[in-house]
Amino acid sequence: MRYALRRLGFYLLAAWFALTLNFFLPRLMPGDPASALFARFKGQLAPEAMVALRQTFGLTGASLPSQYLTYLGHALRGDLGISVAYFPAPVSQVIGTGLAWTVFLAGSAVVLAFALGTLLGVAAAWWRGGLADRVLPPLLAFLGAFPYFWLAMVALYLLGFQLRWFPLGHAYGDDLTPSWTPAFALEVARHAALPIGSIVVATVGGWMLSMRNAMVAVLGSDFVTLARAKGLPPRQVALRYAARNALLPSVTGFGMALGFVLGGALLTEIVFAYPGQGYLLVQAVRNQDYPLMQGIFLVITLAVLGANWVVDLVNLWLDPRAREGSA
Amino acid sequence: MAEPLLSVRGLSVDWITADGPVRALDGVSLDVAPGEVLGVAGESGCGKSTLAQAVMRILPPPAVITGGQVIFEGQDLLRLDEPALRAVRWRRVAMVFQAAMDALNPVLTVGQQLADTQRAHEGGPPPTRHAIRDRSAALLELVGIPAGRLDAWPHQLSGGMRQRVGLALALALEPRLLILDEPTTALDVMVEREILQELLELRRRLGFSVLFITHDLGRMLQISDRVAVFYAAQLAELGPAAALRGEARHPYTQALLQASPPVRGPRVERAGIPGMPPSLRTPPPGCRFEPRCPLAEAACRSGTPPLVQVGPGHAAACFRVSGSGR
Amino acid sequence: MSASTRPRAEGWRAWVEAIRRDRAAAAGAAILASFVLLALVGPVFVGDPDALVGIPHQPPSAAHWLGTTGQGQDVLAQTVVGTRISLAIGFGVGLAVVLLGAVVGVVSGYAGGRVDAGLSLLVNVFLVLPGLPLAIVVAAYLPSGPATVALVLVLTGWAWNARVVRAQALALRQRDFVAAAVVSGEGAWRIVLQEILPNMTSLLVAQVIGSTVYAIGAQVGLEFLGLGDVSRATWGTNLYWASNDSALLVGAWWTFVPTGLCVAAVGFGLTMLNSGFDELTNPRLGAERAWRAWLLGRGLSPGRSTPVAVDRG
Repeated sequence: MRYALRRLGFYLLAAWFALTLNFFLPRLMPGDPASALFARFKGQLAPEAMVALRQTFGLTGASLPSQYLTYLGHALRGDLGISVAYFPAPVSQVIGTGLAWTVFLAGSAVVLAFALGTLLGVAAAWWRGGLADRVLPPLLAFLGAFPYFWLAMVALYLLGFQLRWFPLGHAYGDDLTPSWTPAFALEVARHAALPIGSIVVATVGGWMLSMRNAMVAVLGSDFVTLARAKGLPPRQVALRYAARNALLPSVTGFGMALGFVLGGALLTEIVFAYPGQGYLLVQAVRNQDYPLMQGIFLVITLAVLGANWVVDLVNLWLDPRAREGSA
Repeated sequence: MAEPLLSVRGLSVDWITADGPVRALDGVSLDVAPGEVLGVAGESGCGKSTLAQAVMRILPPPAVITGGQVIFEGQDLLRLDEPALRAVRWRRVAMVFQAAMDALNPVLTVGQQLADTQRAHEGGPPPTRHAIRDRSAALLELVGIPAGRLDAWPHQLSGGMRQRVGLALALALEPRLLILDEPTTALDVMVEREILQELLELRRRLGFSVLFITHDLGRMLQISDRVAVFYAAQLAELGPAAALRGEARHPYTQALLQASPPVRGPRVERAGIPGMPPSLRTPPPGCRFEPRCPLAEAACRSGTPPLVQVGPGHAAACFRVSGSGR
Repeated sequence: MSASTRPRAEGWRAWVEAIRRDRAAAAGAAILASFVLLALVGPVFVGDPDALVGIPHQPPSAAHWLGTTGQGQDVLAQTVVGTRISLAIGFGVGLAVVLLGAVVGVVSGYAGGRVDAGLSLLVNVFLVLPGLPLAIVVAAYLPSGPATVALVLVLTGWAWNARVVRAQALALRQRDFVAAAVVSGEGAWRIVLQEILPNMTSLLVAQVIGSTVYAIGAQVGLEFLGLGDVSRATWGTNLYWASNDSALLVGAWWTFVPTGLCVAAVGFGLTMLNSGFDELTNPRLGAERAWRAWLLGRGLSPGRSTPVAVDRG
């Protein structure tokens, strides 16, 4: 339990760091932070709205520490300012519309790729020199060398445009309204197939390779030799003794990889015009919408930190040594 | 003597490396009688651990067994296929590893690992969970661990306790032969003594044979009935412990004994052995101990010395000893 | 002085030997060399990438080997000219990231104590923050262009190297020769420069290669978003324009496929090169291959138990 709390403390620290970075960025750049943030609002905001906006980012005339506290107060209350690109909607509202789609897309892709890659890695290491070991790693490594969003473009072109097997973008047909029906779920699945598929293809190689290497290392360890010497059935040796232990480094690496994969997922969303954070991000960049950009950064960071903590809890469950707080 | 339990004849093991094979065991022969303790001693890399793992055929890649026979209870283990080997492993021959602390699966409890062993080998109807747990508790008590530790994780136990768990695991199916690969090297002297005494006590009660591998010749002479001394992948001397204690005939054995004199007893001049063991990739022609041997002469480089009988049940591989003892 | 030059000469030869021995590494080196050559002399042979040379979105033809973009520019020219900046930023960032990470890692690993604790915390925070959003937020405040891209890539990439180098520094610190140096009174900086860093050469080389792969890929991503200098041809900005000009909806695959293939080829080539060095630093990986070949040559299969190859009779 101490381990879980210590990790939580670390994530809170990282979250604070992100918040602080957001606070200082406009102030570090050359020029007046207010003009950087609000240049695009010129002429669009009533004076009171402008004052409120300045408050949100702590751009009061007060001392720096006081500005910081004002900013923190607003951020913690969920007030992230007003969006330029989607004026006059507040940033939190804009982000909210896309968050669920991003979590669905990136989350499913990551979990699928991890599960598939891990299984393939176990197979490759157990049947060393076999098909899974010789053919798949180089092939998947080659596919992984392409930028995710490029694979998405190719997939969209080949399977969407040419073969018309899958729709060309968005999360669901433009003529439908979201509802909790199986028909709608099917529609969502159809639209999500290509984006999730391209992310999985791009990332599964990495998971497979790391699991295979961990497995090969564990297969050489004494307790696996002992398991064999004990005459345990091969499947038990492979799974209960070898794979269970080889899984641990993959799980600890999962958290770190998450942030990286998420970046690729955001770019993939753009290719498919998927209504998630990636799409919003591109709008924000194009319109120099700093409040929205910083808001997305914050929300995505918090999501990744939260996911990392969940992974740490999973690790706690999987590895009894972590429970002593010795990790 | 009666039919030996284990008879190793001319066993050779090679490690296949990218630069060619390295012979880790070269034509080794020895027997283990029922109920006896055979000690195997030698420096690191002399092949003794290789022997232990070769008997059970659990040497990791890139090892290959390239010659000889391993006759156990009348069967040549080297000729058995995988399922037959699995039937023999643990049920008839079991092993306690060096540093059993790393030989226990970190993510399973002690009880789960004891249960795995039992479940893997049941012939008749599968035993109940209760029966398995009772037997596991009994095994732990056998080696002096309170039954409450069944639900402990390996990392929660001390080194000595983990070694005892290794012993309990090995005895789970009441094997006829127990192979101990440097079981106490990583433990401190007090714990070592306790474990060895318990081992001897168990041997007395249950009657299994022991193949005991260590680099500590002195310790081994105390607890073994017979002793085999290895040097550079070959057998140097083999005989009753009492004989080796008093009259070791191979110069290497004599040098080893001189290097670790007993704590009690008359003062003996301590002397190390100058030089290093030879590379097994390019072993010297002739006797492998010749470069470091105080008794070496020109003839010693001519060929590998055969094992010569120097006393009842006592042989040494040296050109300089005459047969039938002095 | 001659004692330290002789091992290094052997070092160079060891690297070249590793490449020659491993076919994959040799292939990787060849691919890399061709692209570097392309970057250096290619632009001389193709036209001006910004010139409007034809009808937009023309498929590949004899006149334009890779067709034209949505604006009517020559795709081949853009791809070849783009190689220069893309590779330059890639290598530059790869090197910078390893330098920065190595400095932090070595200081952290060697100094220990509170310095280590503090630096490690900083490293871990940067490791857990998602890279792309951070890069975007920082880059947005700076003028767009290659320099900004390089800067944010270093910012988001240094932490990984710091962690790896720190682990290695910690391990080396325990070794005997370092203890001997400490006992003989050598200063900390000298120990770091003369004992620790030289023993990390293979690790650092592998890190540079890996970081370059990361840098090229991440760079393309940022430029795709429009954060690079969209008026200059690089692989990423080519993709940016392809997407902007709705290449996919028009079916103009030639505007984005060649660029992606280039990125993958360079990335894959670098990775193959690294795997060749991998066996240099981790000989165990190659050992089993010889064993397997030996067994198969005698008609034996590598099973679970130790194989027996005894000639009977």
